[in-house]
Amino acid sequence: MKNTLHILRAERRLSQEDLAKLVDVSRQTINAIEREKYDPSLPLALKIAKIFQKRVEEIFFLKVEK
Amino acid sequence: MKNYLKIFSFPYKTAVLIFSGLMLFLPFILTAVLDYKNIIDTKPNLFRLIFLIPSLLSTIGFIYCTLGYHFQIMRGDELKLKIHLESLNIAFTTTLVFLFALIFVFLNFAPVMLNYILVILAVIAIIAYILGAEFVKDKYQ
Repeated sequence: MKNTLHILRAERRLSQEDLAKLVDVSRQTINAIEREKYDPSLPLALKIAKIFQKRVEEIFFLKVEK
Repeated sequence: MKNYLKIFSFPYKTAVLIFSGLMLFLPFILTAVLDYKNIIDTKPNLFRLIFLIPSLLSTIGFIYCTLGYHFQIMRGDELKLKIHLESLNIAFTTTLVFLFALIFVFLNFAPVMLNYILVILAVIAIIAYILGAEFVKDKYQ
């Protein structure tokens, strides 16, 4: 699953640590999500979407297969 | 009960872990200090108690810590929980494979070693968990 988390975070000038505190997870979790090594749970995805005031599917989406 | 375990914070886990470790080895220290051969002959029940009470306290302590750390991870960060669960899966599978392999080897070549199979499996499970956790961590970094 792809995501635009690092772009949104950069736009709001939030560090991984700041975002991690806001959604109550570790910085490593945010890093793993941004590097697309780990897909967040639905509650975490909803929390992140709420922080950035976007819909979940605007932040997280499936890779387009050609 | 299940909900209570989720709320309970399991305080003093590190202290309990150290205490349990000490209790595990206390009988060996006591038998080295005391004249255990004399105690076995004169007071065999006392000798049993020297082993029974510390090992019972140690068992309770280790169970407390295991539950405590497990529920701490369950309440905490979701990536750490995933790493924990995947490591447990690796540890369980490894232990199961070793159980059958060791039963086969010990039954055929060293039947006396069957007395120690649980201890051997416990050590294998702990090592498999630690190595599994490192392996799984690498996957998410």
